[in-house]
Amino acid sequence: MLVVFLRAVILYFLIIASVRLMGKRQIGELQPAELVITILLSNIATLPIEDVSIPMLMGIVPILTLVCLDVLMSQLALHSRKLRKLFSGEPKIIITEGKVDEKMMKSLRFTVDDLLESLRSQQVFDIADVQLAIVETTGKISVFQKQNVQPVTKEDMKLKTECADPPQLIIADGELCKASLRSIGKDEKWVGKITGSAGVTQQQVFIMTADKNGQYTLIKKENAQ
Amino acid sequence: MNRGVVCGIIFAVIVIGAVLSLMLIDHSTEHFLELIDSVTSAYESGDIDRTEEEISVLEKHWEKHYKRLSFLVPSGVLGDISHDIARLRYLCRSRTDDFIAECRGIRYRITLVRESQLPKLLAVF
Repeated sequence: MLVVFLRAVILYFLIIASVRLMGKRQIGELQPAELVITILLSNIATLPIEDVSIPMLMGIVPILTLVCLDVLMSQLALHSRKLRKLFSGEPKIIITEGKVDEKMMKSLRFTVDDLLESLRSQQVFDIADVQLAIVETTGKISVFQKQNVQPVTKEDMKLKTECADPPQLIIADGELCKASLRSIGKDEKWVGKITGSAGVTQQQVFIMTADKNGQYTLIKKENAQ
Repeated sequence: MNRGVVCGIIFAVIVIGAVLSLMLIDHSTEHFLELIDSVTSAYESGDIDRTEEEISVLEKHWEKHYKRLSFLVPSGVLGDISHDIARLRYLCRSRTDDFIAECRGIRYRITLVRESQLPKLLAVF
């Protein structure tokens, strides 16, 4: 039993490292090749855990090989559009000016229900409102609605607005986030001034957010109040 | 470091490790086959004491060889060979014809283990 436990621990860390190696793209959206890799990894990892007679290397080597291949192929695909098309396919237009392309739907094996469901999930309840709908390589549908049904924007109303970055997390549970502080152009002295004026130390701050204009929000820890 | 470089290094390590392990197993198996042949010839010459000495040498070598192979070969296969080797001393003392058959069996099994590690077309597919 201890062998199974140790193997599970080792493979857990290996899988975490592998997913980190594949990068954030892997976690966010799965391209066809990445989906295959993810399914394969989960299957391969369970083999040496379940069957202690199988050497650990028989699990580690294929996992690392698949991950490295995936990363190397995606690096190659960065430089070649043809390779990208080969691995991930390409987006397909499924609705143009409210008209559904039936041929494309058949070739994608999309049913009318699938299409309507995807549109509804994007708050589009009438196909006639769609100017353009594209099936992305991940299988997700992107919709561009006709101008007459699009919501009015500040630009349409000629309203002047300032573009400002959202506030950054500066202190999280008493810990200073130096990278965020740098991104808003402030330093630790400034943070010290703010916490001092609030009558707390940095360690007594639960959350502090701030933006480039120096606007901040500070929430003290319960035991500091 | 660039992910591509890291993956390239891992890839290279895997390939080099695979080639080195193959060479090591090949060398170790070759030595094992020589030892099992010595055991067989000693038994065929009727010298039981020498045969037992040869079996002791074989057992010691198998201990080392087992550890190396256990990284690459399922332990069930290696367990069967260990079981067969453990029977040799008793078969030798009882002076039975099964001894030679057992030696041939061990020889064949260990050859199969080595063959299974070689990247031949049959093994890959």
